[in-house]
Amino acid sequence: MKGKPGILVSAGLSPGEAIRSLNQQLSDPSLKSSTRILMLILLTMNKRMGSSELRALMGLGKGSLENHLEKMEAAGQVTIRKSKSFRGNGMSQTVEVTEKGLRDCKVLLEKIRGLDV
Amino acid sequence: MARESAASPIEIKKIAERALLLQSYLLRRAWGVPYAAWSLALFVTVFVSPSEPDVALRLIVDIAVSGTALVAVLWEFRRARDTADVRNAIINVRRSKPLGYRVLLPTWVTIYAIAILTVIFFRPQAVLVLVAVYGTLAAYFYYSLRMSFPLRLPPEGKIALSSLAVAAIVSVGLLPLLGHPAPYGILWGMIVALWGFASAYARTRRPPAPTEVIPT
Repeated sequence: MKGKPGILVSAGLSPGEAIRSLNQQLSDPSLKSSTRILMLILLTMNKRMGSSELRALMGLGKGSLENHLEKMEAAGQVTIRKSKSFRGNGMSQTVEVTEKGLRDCKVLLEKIRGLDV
Repeated sequence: MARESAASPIEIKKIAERALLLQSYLLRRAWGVPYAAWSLALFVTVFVSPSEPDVALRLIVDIAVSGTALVAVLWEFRRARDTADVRNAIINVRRSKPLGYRVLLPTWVTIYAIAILTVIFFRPQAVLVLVAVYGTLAAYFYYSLRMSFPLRLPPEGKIALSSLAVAAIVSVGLLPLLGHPAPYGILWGMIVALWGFASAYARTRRPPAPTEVIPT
C-alpha cells in the first residue's frame, strides 16, 4: 500500500486549500460521525443494502443504526424503504443511497485521494 | 465509532480502508451465487442435457444454462466496478478497465456461435470445441475474480478457477478415450462438486473482525 508523493493534488487545489475544503465538508452534521461515513462509503459501493445486513457489518444496535440512518436521510444521502419481512414477523428495511449521497461520497473520496498517510 | 466530531482526513482514509475490507467480505459472499450457478450449469451440461445425436438440442440447453450463469457473474460486475472507484481513491492499485455487458455478451454469443458451427460442420472436433469454451470460461472467471479481488483472490475462488482450468486441459488429454464417457463423468463430477463446495464456503464466511486489516 504505497502512498503517492505529495500530500494532496486532486481537483487542482493546493494542499492547504484542499485540507480547508475537506474540513468544510466534514462540518456537515451528516458526516460528523465515522459510522455514517463508513455507511455512506459502503452504500456507494453497493447502492442498496438491508438494514439488518448493515447492522451486522457495523456491529451496531438497532436503535443506534436507526439514529444514524435518520440523520443521513435528513441530509438527503439515503432513502429508507420498509417492506413486510417474510422471514420474521416484523418489517425489513432497505437503505438506498441517493444521488446526493453518491455525490457527497465522491467528493469525500476525491479529497482523500493522494493523501500520504 | 460512535462519536460526533468531524473526522480528520487521516481518519477518513482509515474508515475507507475499513469499508473496503467489509466490501471484500460482501463480494466474497456474493460470489457464492455465481459459483452455485456455474456448478448447476456444468452439471446440466455434462450430465443432464441430451447426448448425441441431439446436438442442436444439447447446444440450446448448454447456451441456456451457461447464459443464466453468465448473468449471475455479470451481476457482480456492477458492484466490482463501483468498488474499484473507491479502492482507486485510497490504494495505488493498477486500474484495470472493467468490461461491461456490451463487450461480454457479444463475446459469449460469438464463442457459442463458433461452437455451434464447429459441431455442425466439423463434428469430430466438437468435444475439443466445448473444452475450448470451458478454457475461455476459466480465463473469463479469472478476469471477473480479479476485478472483485485485485489484491488477493479468496481460496474458494482459486479452487474453482484452477479446477476448471485443469479439467479443460485434462479433457483434451482424454480425447483418445472419446468412446468412454466414464473418465469425463468422473472428472467433471469432481468439478461440479468443487464449485458447489466453493459456493457453500463463500456463503458461510463471517464478517471481518474490527481489528482485521486490509490485505496488501
